[in-house]
Amino acid sequence: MNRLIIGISELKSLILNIKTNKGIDFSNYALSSLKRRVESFMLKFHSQNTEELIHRISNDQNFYELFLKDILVNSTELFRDPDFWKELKVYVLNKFKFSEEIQILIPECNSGEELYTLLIVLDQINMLDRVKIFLTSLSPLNIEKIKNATIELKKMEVNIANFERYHENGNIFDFFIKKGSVVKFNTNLFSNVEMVHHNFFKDEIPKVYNLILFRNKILYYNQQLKAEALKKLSQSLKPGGFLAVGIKETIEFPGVEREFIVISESEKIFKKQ
Amino acid sequence: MSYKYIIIGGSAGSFQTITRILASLPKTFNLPLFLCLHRLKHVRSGFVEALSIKSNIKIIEPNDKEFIRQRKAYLAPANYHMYIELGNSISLSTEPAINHSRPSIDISFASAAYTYKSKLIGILLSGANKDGAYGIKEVKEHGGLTIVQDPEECQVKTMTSAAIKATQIDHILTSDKIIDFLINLKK
Repeated sequence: MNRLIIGISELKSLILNIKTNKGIDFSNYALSSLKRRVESFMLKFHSQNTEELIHRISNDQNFYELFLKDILVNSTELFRDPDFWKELKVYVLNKFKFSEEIQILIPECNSGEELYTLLIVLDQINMLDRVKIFLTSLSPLNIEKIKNATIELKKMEVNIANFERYHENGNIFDFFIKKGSVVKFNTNLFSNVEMVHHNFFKDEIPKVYNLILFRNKILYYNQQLKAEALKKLSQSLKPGGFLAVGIKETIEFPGVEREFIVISESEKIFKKQ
Repeated sequence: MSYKYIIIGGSAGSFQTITRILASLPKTFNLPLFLCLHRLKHVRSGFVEALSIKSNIKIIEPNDKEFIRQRKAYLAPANYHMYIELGNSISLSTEPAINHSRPSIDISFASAAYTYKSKLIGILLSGANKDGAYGIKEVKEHGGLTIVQDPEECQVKTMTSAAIKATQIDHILTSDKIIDFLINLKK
């Protein structure tokens, strides 16, 4: 790590500028990790100070898109927490075996691994044709990347290990093709997936979902935005719908907590009453 | 003594030292401890239990946004970075690995240094990569106290040697001396 440290007041003026000019509000993101991502971005793009960064963001739309892509955390793994995916299959997806249509929402999604994993799980239990998946991101570049569906080959070691913990003797390359230094996901599985550029906190979301995957997103919010997100998530679910958050995230908020019952304590799967 | 928080980082060869430190601290030791130790990313359980066997201090793997309390040791969970936030809470992250590590010692140390400034003691133990060197430099530059385990005593000295190269470390101590130092802090 190289050193470039910005002050809280500089970070706040950057946030205010983006909020005013771009309509995206980072004011209630978790401060330490946001600050570090801004610093890393500045090092990568040789920005000397936040004034210069603000100037470039305001005047160069492509540069702003790159900024958004980096600031929204887009790192994950296929089958992260294999036990989560096992429990999701048993306690949630199997409950919909005889439903005509299942609506699934993956909001604020900045990398494809959660989606590809879900599609593999659904395909293996022959439920792909009955789902409608709606995936949203604040970043058009991240949407493009998710649609493009390639993963660097060097990242596959951990993905393969996770998959084997989920499905003993399974072969993840039933779903991916090697192409040089990357692997490409079988995009035929995308036929019932809609991916859109969308602002989860500002734009309307229909209240029709049977399942929302929101794992490891709350990590990047502060308490206030976490409460807002949980409220919005709860409103977007049908009664009896399911919500999954990350295994180190909690939903203990007055008002929200009582709306849910715990399906899996360890894997953080909840059901709306 | 003005120190109010202690953060300890370690990797290969640090497990025994950590367990000895935890076993030696008295029940009355009330400064919050943060432990950022490299660990297998897919093994979620067992580590806290192993560290707790002889510890007088309650060790927990915090949830995201958990408030920091006295008499507790906070162990960075597997496959998450652990930040210490302004406002005295913990936040976790799944951002990419740093120095091939998640949790990264650099991230925990640098955020603790920023938050606690001169109230922080940073201690770096045996380890096989240079994660932690940047972090302990941050502790130093924010006015905290820096301690590194004597490389001669470390099973693997890459981490401590990198730290000593990165900044002027206040104390280079054997594990026995680190334990004495911590116990005497509270007298």
